[in-house]
Amino acid sequence: MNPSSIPALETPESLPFDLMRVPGLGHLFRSRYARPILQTPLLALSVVMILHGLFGPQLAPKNLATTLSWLHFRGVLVLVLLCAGNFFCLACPFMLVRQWARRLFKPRFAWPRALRNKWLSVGLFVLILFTYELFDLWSSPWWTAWLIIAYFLAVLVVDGFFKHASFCKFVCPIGQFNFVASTLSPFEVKVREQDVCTRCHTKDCIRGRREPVTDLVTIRGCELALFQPSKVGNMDCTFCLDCVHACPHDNIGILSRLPGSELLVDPLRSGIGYFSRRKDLAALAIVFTFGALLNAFGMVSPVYAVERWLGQLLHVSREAPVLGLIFTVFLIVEPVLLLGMAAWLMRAWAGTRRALLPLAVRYTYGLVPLGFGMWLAHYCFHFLTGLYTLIPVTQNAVASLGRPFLGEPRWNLTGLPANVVQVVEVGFLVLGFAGSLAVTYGLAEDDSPHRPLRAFLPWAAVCLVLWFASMWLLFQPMEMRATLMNG
Amino acid sequence: MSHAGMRPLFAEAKEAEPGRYLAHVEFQMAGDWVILLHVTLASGKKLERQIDIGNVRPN
Repeated sequence: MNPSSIPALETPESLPFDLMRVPGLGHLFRSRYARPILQTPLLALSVVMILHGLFGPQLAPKNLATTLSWLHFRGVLVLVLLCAGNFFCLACPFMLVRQWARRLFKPRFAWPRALRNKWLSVGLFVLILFTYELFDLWSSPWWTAWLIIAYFLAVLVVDGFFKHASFCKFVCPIGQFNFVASTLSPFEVKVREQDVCTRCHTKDCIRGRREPVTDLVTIRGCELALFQPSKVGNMDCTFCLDCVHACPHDNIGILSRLPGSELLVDPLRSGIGYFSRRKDLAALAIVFTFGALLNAFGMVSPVYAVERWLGQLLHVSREAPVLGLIFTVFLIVEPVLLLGMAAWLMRAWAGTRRALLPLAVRYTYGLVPLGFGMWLAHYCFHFLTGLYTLIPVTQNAVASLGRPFLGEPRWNLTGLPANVVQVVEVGFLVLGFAGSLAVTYGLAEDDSPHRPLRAFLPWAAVCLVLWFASMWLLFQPMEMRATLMNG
Repeated sequence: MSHAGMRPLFAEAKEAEPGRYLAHVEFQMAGDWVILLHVTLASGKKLERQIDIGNVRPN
């Protein structure tokens, strides 16, 4: 299937909806100051979170660092990704600090060739999930504050030494999460008319706009090496809008599309290559999908029974090795077994000629909707059941400054009832399951036009296993402890 | 709960006998709980004390 056959909304009768054409919003996005305008409030919020995390009450439900990070930020992030696109990266506060720092010192080095892939960021993604469980980051304002500080320092170090957006493209674990999830977003930064790009000679969207005499860049081109005319989908796109500002023809918009449509195709993508040849990207999709289940597993009662059992079996009392084993099973053994068996069965039943590994890599992307469904269910549970907690926590923070002008903290304000939120969670899981079935069936149809059902069934079985596991997790009693091994 | 955002429980402690106060609290889920005591003394002075109750088991 080539990009032109992506099920898009591009017939003359129904042109894609363009967010840039919305009055007010389009004006904001066209402004060169759009990004700083959106970044500044988030930077201010980050500073407040750091200060409250370090110097405020060390009880997580009373601290802004933990409440905002682990409830509101994550919830809003996944909902915006689902309903719009990767707008968090657009408003990323870390990049604002980077911009200021780059006025003082210019990066001189190119990102090492050996690291121009996702392996490092996959490792960091796993490390964040691991430390989240090991150090119970959700219960520690102090550690949460230091995590935010570490993020700012990492951005400054990486992008201080290395040119372009090296941190975003090759390091940032939050960014990688956003890139994968935004493959399911309904909006994409995209050229409006390919003909205009064909006639364009300057290619400012990638080169940047330059001063004619000095040849100095006045408006940046894409720092993530995505050349708009051959860019496909949202992978690696931070929605920074540099290309929008650089394009001299006003030919780039934020266009609507069928969510997940980019997972159905495998064209040569600018700045990425072929999805089916990117084992590192497939590993990222695996961590995204299976990590969603693992992250939720860490919050339910059975995890403590499993940890105790493993601890006794291995004769260890420390949590790290037990947790390491659980991570290995969830993120390596389980995916290898499930994807390997499905690929082998597909070859046997449908007679596909592809080798096992390329086949598994290709279909891994089909599991992304399921993973996103689980992240949505998990994060929205915390977000919606704790929706109003921001009010008393803020009241308490203000009162602690000696000026309680927001009133006494109303600790009885929490959020939506858990039974209502559970219905929403089931909805997300069903949506994710349906999305994964649709993508894997589309790929199977493409790979085996004469026997699509045979090619599809093994992958449908994998989707079913993961969906059942997600539903089982959803109905487990929650248990949140900061002392895993002492029970 | 030790996790941000989880629904808190409220209970008022009643004096059962001089110096001894009782309150009924039903933990809604297993895990680590924190009891925050807000006390108003006879003098009108207010105190806040925290009691950590870890490892609450499911029924």
